[in-house]
Amino acid sequence: MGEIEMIPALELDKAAVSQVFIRHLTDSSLISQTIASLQKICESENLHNTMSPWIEYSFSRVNHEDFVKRESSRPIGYTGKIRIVLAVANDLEADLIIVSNRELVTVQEIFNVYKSITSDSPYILSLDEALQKCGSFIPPKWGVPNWNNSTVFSRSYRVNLTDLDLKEFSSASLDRISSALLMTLEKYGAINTKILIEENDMETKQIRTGTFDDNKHLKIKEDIFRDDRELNAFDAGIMITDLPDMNCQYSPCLSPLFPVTVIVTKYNGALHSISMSASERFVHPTVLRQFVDLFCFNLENKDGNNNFLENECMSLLETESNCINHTDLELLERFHSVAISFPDQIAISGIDGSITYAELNRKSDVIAKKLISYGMNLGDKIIVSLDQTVELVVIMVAIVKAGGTYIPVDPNYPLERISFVIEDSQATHIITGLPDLPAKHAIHWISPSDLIEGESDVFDTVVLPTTAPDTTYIIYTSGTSGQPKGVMVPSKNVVSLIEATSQEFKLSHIDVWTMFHSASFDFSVWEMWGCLLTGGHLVVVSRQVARSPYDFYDLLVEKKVTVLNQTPSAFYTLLKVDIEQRNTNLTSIRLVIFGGEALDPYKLSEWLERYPVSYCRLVNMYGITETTVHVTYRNILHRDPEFLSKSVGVTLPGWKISIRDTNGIPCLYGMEGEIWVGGAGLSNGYHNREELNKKFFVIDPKDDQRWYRSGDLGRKRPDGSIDYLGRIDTQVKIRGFRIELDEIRSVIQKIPFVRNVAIVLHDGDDVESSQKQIVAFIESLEHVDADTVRSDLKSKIPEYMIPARIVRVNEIPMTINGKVDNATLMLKLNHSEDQDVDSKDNNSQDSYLSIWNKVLGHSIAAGDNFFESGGNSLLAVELLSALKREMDSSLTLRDLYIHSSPNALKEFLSKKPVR
Amino acid sequence: MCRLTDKVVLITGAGRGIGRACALRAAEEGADLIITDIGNSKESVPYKLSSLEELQTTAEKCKEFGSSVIVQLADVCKMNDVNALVEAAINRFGRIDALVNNAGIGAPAGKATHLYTTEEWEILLNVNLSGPWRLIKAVAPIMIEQQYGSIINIASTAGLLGYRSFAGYVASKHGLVGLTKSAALDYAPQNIRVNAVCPGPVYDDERLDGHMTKVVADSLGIRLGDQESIDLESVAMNTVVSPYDVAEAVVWLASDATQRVTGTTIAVDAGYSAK
Repeated sequence: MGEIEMIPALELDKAAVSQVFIRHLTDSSLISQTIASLQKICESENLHNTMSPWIEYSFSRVNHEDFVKRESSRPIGYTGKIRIVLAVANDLEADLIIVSNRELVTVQEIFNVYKSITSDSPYILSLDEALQKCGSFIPPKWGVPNWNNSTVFSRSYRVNLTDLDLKEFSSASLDRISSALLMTLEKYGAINTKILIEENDMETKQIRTGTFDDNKHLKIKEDIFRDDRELNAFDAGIMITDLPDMNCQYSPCLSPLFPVTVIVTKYNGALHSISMSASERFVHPTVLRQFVDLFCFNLENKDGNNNFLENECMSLLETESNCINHTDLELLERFHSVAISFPDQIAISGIDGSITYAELNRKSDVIAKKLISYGMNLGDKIIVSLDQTVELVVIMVAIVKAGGTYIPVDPNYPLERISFVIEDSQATHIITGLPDLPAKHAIHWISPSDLIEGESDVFDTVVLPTTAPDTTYIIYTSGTSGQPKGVMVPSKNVVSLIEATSQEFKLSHIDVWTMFHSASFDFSVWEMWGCLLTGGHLVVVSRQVARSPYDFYDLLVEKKVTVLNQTPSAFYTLLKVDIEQRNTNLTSIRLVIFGGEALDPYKLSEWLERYPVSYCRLVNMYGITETTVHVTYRNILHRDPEFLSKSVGVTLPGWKISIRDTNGIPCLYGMEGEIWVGGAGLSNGYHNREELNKKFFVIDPKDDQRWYRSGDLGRKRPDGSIDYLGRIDTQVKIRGFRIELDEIRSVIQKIPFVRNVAIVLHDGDDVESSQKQIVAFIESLEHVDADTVRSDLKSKIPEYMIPARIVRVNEIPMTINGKVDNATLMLKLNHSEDQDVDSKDNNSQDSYLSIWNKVLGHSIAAGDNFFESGGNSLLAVELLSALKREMDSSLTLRDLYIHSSPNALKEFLSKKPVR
Repeated sequence: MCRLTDKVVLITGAGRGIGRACALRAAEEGADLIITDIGNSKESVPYKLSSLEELQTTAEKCKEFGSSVIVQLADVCKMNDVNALVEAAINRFGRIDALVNNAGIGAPAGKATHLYTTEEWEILLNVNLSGPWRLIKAVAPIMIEQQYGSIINIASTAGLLGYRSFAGYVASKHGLVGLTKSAALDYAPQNIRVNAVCPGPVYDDERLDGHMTKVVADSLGIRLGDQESIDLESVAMNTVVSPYDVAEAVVWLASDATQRVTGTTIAVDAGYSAK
């Protein structure tokens, strides 16, 4: 559709408010008349106060054309006057260029100035006419900026829609343009989008807004804007100008007034040109280019746009070019070569001692042979439910050597969950020290001590298989709902993961890793194999140490750990411990990898001050169990621009991400869609879950490639990096409006008396969407007046986001996983008397104990130990901040670890000297 | 050559000499210009200052490069003149990207420090030091709004070293170097650079109507040729400085090539001050 061009004016020039009118003059008497008029203005003090006339003579035709071009793109700048420049080429040719600030002068006023100058009619000053600021400079949630905050410069880009058959458009063109624009914006994930439509001709100005109703019918209405905030709410603007003849040109703004600005020019009612422009502050030029293509398609084909995406976007489909393929043997081969290269190097250490690579190799061989002699066959599934010890790692290596599939299950899981895994996985053996598993399971029970101890040479005759198992391990994931499901991961994926990262992260035999995470959490797969396949020293962290940030901190210092893997929450806790120390003790750490949950880079600033990135690299990784731990990586730098806060970086070599819409069609750059993952990390699917496999592991018929549909929302930037935008299933639609419950939550959370808030979507008794309601549960110690909250919210969020019901609760209930317990909350809603009971309860309850209960999510007795009642290091930090707020601000985390029951801490506090 | 395309440059003392060289080079690089000079003589300054005709000559030569040029007389000692100049620039061009504080006087001079009259002392400081300050006072608010700008003060090697018999000039130019450094700190947060250029002995280029060497020679009561010989001996490179050498540094400082250069003094003196 026309080439993309850079708009010459920089935004800092006030270019957006500059409107330019150009009249080409080819009549010598008209030129003389104009010169005379401009001289008159110079002589009149009154007129000279509002206008600044200049006459410039050109030396040549080329010079003249250059001059007119330069002058007509010169922003009005910091003057309040109307700038009038007459560029004279010769007696028969001149151009009159009138530039003004659109916030001070209307376009009709400019036309009046033009008419009076060229006709010698008296000019009547009428600059006090009501003016309206029009323009929206709030970054929209959609679109991909390409602008670094550290510079004041930003560029804008424009595409002229040259290929459109403009004659085809009748008087209904405005509707069509508006509809096409709204449709395009919605495709990009603009929420409840609204556009501004400004129409001007020589005499009149009209400002209206355009939206879609529930049925995607265009609604154009006249709006009166009460304040600037409303004007800022536009995703796009259409500026239409109707000019009398082709000698006139008019630009309503020199740089875009809206995230996307559409400029339409008509001559005597007939459409002449359309251009679209956007600033790189909001929209990347590549995104704009594709946006324009989609807009044109929508403009020409009123019904649907999937065809366009299907036909035009296939070029965006990822190719397999950088895919790494490995045979199944390579995991063991690679392990052997490491073991041979570094025989005397410590491979694993933990609370139960340490072993070298040579010992690990020998020991795992013996165990593998024992397993085979115990009746384990190739491809058998073996559950390993052991504490975090050296033994656990050796056994998992041995199972792979024996040709089996290991299924790690945390021995601290509830027995029902362990039983479920035994049943679901159809495992043949379980290696565990657990004493009290129900006997009903038909499974061979192996005690770890049998495997580790005893004679080794009696198994010399057993031959180990030469092929690695189809599936190296199965890890059970909970997902957001439903039963846990086992993800089957082949060994080649593990090798690909290490291949893809070892060079980038410079992993080597001098590294010291921790295995911090439970073997049943796939982050530990990366810790274990990442270390053992690169010859590093793996420090297995016991559960006891892992849940005490102080002990873990000491361990990191003592073992001189170099590669640390953490969930962001756990890392924030560790950081708090580090800040309490006088010295920066973690200087041996050279690489921190974040995974498991979304990272808030802003929370890392204190770390970055203590450990600059030049010494310790921070890498955020997005990953999914179904695609072998990691998918993308991004380096965290000291001053990342704001727009990168959601970025998870680029895919690992061999991994692929495609962003797809709800129909599975690839999205354009910058469009929001589901993250599909393919390539080297793709697992073999869920064990025994054909339905789920069909749903989530899909073959794209277009390219015959297999993909995993992650259920995560994301978008791809033109540089190939990915933004992670949350889970698809947390998005809610009410009365056609797309709503982010989190946004409502964060606004209510800022109300002073609100301690905590939960937003729940109430489906009503039936599934009719009209019955859906947003309910806010506010935890507060004070009385909550729903009307006060609502009126407070009205100034901050749109009406459709304001909760229909606002309920005060004494406490937001939590599930055992630390998530809001929606079911319990809904019970409170349905039995409204609960609210009264709650408020009565409030007075009688022991507020000190309730802090502990609230953090734990259940009641404990005053003598109960926090850590034995479900507390962990993350919850301890939460408890500390609550206790600091309510009880004693000098309390430290260490106090909490030493005095870990409500009674013990209370006693400690009572004895503590008052400062 | 387009290092200053779309840039608007204000140059004081542009009637001749270094000021004219700066205007010509800026025009050649694509800038639009506001050029000014005093247009008549000044009491207590013992030589003829630039005329309106000389300033218009500069403008005509600049226009040949395709520049738009505003010509407006202004005395940098008068705040009203300075304000009117800046207002004209804004009305015409909307913005000011670079300010070249070039206007300055080389005499009265040629006497020991205590022999200056109060008027002589004051006129030197008023033109050479307070003049640039007045321009900054008028232009800085615009540049702050723009969050962009480059201020270039034409000082002298007399801003770095002492010269016998030139106490007033030396004091004013040292003051200008100090003003440069302080203003650089003041405006750094607003992305405005302030730098000084310190020309050494500049020869009088006839095409630029320059005659500062003559002013120095007259002040010392020696012949122009003798002064030129003295200058030539005093520089390390065995060649004196052309006004265009100075203009080159000015163009560089006005351009976006120097976005991270501020608070510095650049000597364009053929090695004079290196000794």
